Amino acid sequence: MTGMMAALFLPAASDSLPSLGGRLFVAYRIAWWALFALAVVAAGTALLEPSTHPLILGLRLTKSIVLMAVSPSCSAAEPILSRR
Amino acid sequence: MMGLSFLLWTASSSVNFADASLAWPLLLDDSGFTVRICITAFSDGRWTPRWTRAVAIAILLVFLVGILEALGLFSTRSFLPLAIGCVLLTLSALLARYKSLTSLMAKQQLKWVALGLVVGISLILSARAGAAVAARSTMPMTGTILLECLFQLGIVIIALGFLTSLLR
Repeated sequence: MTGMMAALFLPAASDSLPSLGGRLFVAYRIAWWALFALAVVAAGTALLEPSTHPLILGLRLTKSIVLMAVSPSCSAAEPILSRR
Repeated sequence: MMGLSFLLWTASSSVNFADASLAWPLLLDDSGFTVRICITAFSDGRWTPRWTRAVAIAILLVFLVGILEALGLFSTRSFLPLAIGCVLLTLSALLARYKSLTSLMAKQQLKWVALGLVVGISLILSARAGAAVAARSTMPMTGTILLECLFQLGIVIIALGFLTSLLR
């Protein structure tokens, strides 16, 4: 009987992750966008340096694109990794 | 934290890595590096094996030395060699954790990260060693491009190691 009542009134167990929210998450998103802007500015400033060889600029730009592309994947995966 | 750390790394590694006078990018670069390995090695918050606590304290002390050097309060240039030592010690902690893991899935994920880190750190250290040697003599442009290529490739391989472990 108790088991049946619990099944009726208690929330069902779910394998999915809880949705992210709250002040901490907002702070995280602000920090992410601020650092993203910093990364774009730093990469852009490096491109504007006239004395740097074009090949070196190309290498730095490629690296910046890869790091900026990897960053959201890491951010998305962290809640999953921390549950293990 | 890892995502934020990668964005910070984009900014700190966009300057000339061979220029030792750029203290703040160097500090952010090497400290961020250690933080990334630490997050991976101690993702569950457990400091195993025990000697890794001493490594964590050493990292904090070296970071303090780096700040003091960047502010000009210390006239030494000991931050970079000490930071490289910390990176290698943290990497040893990561490999020790890899050996002690029992879960096959966790082991496989850490394997990709460790592989990327070992290859990437080797390339970055080669580039730094080359830059240190080149600072004492004149280097042709080809050599400068080659060292830059090693450095940037090292960073890309580390990032791809993390990405592969997440996607698999």
